[in-house]
Amino acid sequence: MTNAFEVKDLMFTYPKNDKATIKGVSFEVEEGKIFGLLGPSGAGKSTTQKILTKLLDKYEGSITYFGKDLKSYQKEFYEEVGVGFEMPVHFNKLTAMENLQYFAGLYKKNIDYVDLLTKVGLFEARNQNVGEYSKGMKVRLNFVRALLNDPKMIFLDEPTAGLDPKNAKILKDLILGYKKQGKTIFITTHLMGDVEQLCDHVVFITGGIIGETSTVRDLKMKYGKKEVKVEYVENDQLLEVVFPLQNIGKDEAFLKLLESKTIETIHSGETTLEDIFIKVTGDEFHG
Amino acid sequence: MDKLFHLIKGEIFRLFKYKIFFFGILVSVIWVIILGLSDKATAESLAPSLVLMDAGLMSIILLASSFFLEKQEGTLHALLVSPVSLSKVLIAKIVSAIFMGLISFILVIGCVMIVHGSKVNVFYLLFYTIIVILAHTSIGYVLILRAKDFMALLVACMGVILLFMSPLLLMALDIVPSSLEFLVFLSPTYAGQVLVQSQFQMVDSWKIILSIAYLILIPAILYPLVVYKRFEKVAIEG
Repeated sequence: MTNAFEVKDLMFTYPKNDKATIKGVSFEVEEGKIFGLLGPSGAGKSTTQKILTKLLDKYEGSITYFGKDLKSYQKEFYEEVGVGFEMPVHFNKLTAMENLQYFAGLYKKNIDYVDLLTKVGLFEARNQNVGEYSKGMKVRLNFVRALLNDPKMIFLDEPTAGLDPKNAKILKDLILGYKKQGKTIFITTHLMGDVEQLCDHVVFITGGIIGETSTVRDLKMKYGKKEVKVEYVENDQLLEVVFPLQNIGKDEAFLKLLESKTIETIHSGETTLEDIFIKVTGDEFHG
Repeated sequence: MDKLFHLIKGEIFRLFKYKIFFFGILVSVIWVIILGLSDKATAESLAPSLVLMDAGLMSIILLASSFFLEKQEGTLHALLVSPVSLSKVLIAKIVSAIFMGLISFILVIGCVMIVHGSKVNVFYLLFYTIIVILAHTSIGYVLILRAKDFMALLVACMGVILLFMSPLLLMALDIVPSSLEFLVFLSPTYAGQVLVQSQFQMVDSWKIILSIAYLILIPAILYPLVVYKRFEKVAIEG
């Protein structure tokens, strides 16, 4: 297992601030995986991404990128890194193609961006000025721009924000495809649906510190209620009963209920990532 | 070098697409009409001021409009996370300002030479125009990078224009005695005026040398020590 990034005791204070924005954060981003950095607004997500993308360099602690100190990388770092910002960045009076041709010319290596433009459904609008695009179209073009140089490390900030479910799915499928190709993807988001569908590993950041770090599955196991809720019909009434998950196969009452009643639904007490997010970040806010 | 060429091409292409080029040319065409309708003596006395206005002051306004549009669109962020250095981005912007200034220079000087048959050393004039642009855009960038928005920049520009133009007025009105003329050279606009004028009438050599030195010194100090650092900060902060 190789780590793309290893972040240890990262601290960062903006020059005009008294208090640190990032307060001793440590985490690892495994190569070939999708890593999600989650947190509420102002938690320090964007600052962390700016540090990892070398936009901010006056930090304390250590960061290595594929084993080498991040600070030792010069501009060549960006030949293999793609960054998608939350706010789409384009020249509005230029067409999509003119924008992509301009940005593509900054890199040694390029993908077939017309093909990617087609995949995200923008081929027909490729010669239209970006200023005339809808928000969703700009988000998709932003995604294409971030991938122009065929990066092995991809940073995406809220990649599906502002997209309809159909286009969000297209982007998520593409992201999963890039993972299959062995690329490492770092997603900053507060959209729990994206995290559940995409991320292998998540870190919750709140108030500049790490609240929780784990895989999505382990988080659900940790925070989920270990119980099974059964809804059944009796005398034309919908009733509900809860059983402990442990030894459920030997629970006579549970087995008898299954045999004797008309079961409507059975749910395990699995919690959503949204609930975990509120638990982890909310505790910090109010604690 | 390829990337720098690509950036310059992109800057000039955007000047066309954002119609900044169109408005720049429109102003120059107005100058050409005025010069064309004037007699030779008037045209030769007007031409230096018009070249100076386009090369010096208009270039600041054109740079500013391009900069604030880019700031609004956030495109500087995309350049920061690309393999090109910020110094190349800045050089490309300066070259595009020189390009605009030169188009105006060609139209104005071309008109004086073709319509009125004036004889000037084009190479000297070209060199003078370039250093006038470099000096004024470096000062312009200091103002642009400190201004919150385009309106704030225009107000700052008005102040600077007034400051730079006042020595010319004071000299013209004989308020400043000729013994103190060297102080007036502190205005880069005046220094530029002296240089461009030297191609149409006799000017003391010391004034030409002082003006050249001053107009080279300003960008040589401001671009690396002030503009570059501030540009980087503003680009990151957005």
